[in-house]
Amino acid sequence: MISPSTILGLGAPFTVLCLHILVYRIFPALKNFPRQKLAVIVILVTTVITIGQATYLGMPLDQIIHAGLLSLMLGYSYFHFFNMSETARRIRILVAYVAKIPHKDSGYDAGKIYGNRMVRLREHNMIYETDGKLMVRNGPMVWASYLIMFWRKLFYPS
Amino acid sequence: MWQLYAETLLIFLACLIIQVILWRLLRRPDDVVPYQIVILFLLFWLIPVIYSLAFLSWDRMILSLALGSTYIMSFPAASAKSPTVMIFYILHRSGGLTPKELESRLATELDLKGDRMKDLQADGLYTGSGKPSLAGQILGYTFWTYRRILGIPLGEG
Repeated sequence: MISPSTILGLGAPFTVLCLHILVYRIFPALKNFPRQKLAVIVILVTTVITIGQATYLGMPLDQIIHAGLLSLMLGYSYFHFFNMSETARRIRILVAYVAKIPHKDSGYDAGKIYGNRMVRLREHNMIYETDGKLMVRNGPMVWASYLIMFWRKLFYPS
Repeated sequence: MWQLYAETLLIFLACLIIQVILWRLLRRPDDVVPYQIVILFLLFWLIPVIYSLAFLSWDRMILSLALGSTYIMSFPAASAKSPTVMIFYILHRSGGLTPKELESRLATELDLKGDRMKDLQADGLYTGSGKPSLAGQILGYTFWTYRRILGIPLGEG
């Protein structure tokens, strides 16, 4: 047997994808909005929709939470897929080849990539400059970086 | 429902411990990312699915697959020394650096272009003759099509 809350949660990735496409198609100006931020907003809106549907259908609280968590987990996976298309250098090199983007515009220039990331992090207010020094704001990204470095040491000790 | 979550988490942790042991004992330096990802799928998808089949529970299976997916999707970013992650880690540990110092620290930690071309060749996604293999082209077309469906240009890296 499969519970209705699992079915609702399973529908979330399709809702995320459709919503993501619709948002860009209906509001082309959003192409200038930070793309990762928009993807996160779409995922969170989808989770709210999923929870709303579960509540509307009169599901008990644990089932509503289950549908919401499934939606978040699958949304997180979608975010990584989108992020690969946005920032992964390997993917960029492959896409540049199939899309026949000239080498100089293909964007895997190291300085450009570093510059793009710094601009994005400043735009998101995650990094700031004081007395000529770049500082980082404490928050989920700092914790995630420590977690990932710990993870790396666990799996790649050398 | 909470028992389902507890069991799913326990199975996930067991798979994680198996992965640590496998990576430490059996992983060779020349193991490529696609090979590692196949192992991850076997561990974090197949084991929970077999366990779920024993209970004939779709809820258990789908929850395990969703949890496994979150981990597998995080793996390439974590194992590839993402520049963004390195920026946060280096800046927080050092307590602040000038832009030049940060750039130089990153340059020693990451080879932003060379690494990826070598990785692509090692992964079988790029041939020695300077063009993607069939698998690389399929991957490239998949992401290119995805971006075109969304209607946004290629990411800036």
